[in-house]
Amino acid sequence: MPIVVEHLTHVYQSGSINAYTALKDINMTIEDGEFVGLIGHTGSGKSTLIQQLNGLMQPTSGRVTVDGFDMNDKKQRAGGRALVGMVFQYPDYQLFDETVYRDISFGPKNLKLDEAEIDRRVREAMDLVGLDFEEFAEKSPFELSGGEKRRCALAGIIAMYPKYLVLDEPMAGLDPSGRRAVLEMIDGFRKRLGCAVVMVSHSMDDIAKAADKVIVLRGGEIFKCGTPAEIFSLSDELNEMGLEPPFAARMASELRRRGFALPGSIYTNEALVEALESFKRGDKNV
Amino acid sequence: MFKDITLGQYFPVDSPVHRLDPRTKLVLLIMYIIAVFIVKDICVFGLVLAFMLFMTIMSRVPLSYVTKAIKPMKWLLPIMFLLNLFMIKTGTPLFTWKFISITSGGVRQALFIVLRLIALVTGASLLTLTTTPVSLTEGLERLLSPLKAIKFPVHELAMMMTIALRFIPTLLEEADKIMKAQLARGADLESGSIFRRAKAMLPILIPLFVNSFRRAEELALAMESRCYHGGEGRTRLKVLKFQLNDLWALLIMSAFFAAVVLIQHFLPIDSMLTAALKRILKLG
Ligand SMILES: Nc1ncnc2c1ncn2[C@@H]1O[C@H](COP(=O)(O)OP(=O)(O)O)[C@@H](O)[C@H]1O
Ligand SMILES: [Mg+2]
Repeated sequence: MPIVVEHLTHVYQSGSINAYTALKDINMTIEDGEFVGLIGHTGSGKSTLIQQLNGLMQPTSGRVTVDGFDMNDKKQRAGGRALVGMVFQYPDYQLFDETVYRDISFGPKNLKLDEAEIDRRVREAMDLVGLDFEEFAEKSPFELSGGEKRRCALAGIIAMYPKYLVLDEPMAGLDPSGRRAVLEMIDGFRKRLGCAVVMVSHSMDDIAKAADKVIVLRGGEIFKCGTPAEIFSLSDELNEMGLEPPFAARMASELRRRGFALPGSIYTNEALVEALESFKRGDKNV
Repeated sequence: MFKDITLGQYFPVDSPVHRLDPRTKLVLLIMYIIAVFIVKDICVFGLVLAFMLFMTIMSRVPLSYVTKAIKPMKWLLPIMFLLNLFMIKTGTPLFTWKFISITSGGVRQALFIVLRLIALVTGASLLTLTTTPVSLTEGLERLLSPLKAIKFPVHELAMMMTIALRFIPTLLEEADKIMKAQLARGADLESGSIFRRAKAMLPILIPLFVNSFRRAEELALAMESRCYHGGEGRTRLKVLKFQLNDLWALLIMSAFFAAVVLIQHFLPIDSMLTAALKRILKLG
């Protein structure tokens, strides 16, 4: 069963003179096992939208249903929330316990799992995020480096086995190798847990590489929803919104502008390389 | 949920009250508070509330914003009113039923407590609505500067206040984010005994404290690296200056203050009214 968002509108400080409509009539579906990329300019409502997915915020009007749990209903909310794992931008908002081990087990404990299962999950989560158990389990989470904290925060969510993993700019402030590592980790969880992923990111290259479906928000409304190929072919519209299309898409459109007859659906580096190589071979029917 | 707290919120418009020197406004507030406590007659209280209304209109802050400050007292006010109503046994009894009795003194006292609290809170909130935290603490520092003579750390105190006020919204916002992060991990903050609930707050309090300490350290470093070394020899970018406006404000305040004192001493309106009331009651 999917996450279904119907006619969702969110107004901040509704009823006061500062009322601000952050989301307008959003309709979308997140299917099982899907990787959804959510992009949009700063302030377009991405964070507001994803916090509705596990009921941390309630819509002013409209409805969110997670596998049949109505998130507007206080009694059903906990059931839906247990299915949706949420990773925030800064690990500092989440780490609190004495040791890494205990911090990661906080979520599983709240799910009322037994000791043995918790232990198994903590070990597995640490393995998936690449934190060595012997080295880190008994360390204080506050002694970790920035990248290690992020891994620890991720592990705390993974250990809850979410059916949907929601990440709000998980790679902000990381260097390229750190970004690649996070993407690989997310890929690892998907293989292991078969979970769906909703990822907010400013890096179109990462979205192009990983997403099955891309949703573009503009001014609190869904501007466009489609496959990466559909979205990244709209390079003019994306540029206008202040979003830079992936490097490969920009390169391809620049080459096309200069008279190279490249196909229209290039947005990953691999596809670009392949197209250029077949071009070099003199194969004009790419 | 923390976002609803409006503590010392500044209302950014331009008005004669906003433009007053913060020192003037502090002095006005002090005089106003003294006036509120001098008043012993309900009728004179009308004058106090009228003055408050006048200042609010001059400040161009919507009345609803000033009265918002009363909202957190929505439980305190009725409790204070009822306590005074039933506990004070002075004056003539108005109503008795078994062991419960209400006296005229009780009614007066109950009304007074409520009116005083409202007058004080709205006065203070008008000050913070019309004065930025920075200029407020600056005004305080200058007003208290004579205390430097007895080695009282006036500057340090003012700086601490400025920083504290500056970080209240940041802290509230951060508490909100941390709470969400822990709720998303299945933290249960709402059920169980008080003891359990206090323990459930730990996952929120610990990151809040850790982040605050880290931020304090970073702030101290940032200040030191820009050569901050306390108040000694420190000058101001904008030096406070009294203007004609301040003179007017002080004059108006003094007139109001004098009126309150004079009426209170020479025109016992309340006792005249009660006497009249008694005559009418007796006639009836
Ligand atoms: N607590 C709040 N109160 C009022 N407005 C808010 C609040 N949080 C966010 N907003 C506004 O809502 C809009 C969307 O914010 P957000 O969802 O954080 O955008 P994004 O994550 O896409 O940058 C922004 O214009 C922001 O200023
Ligand atoms: Mg955001």
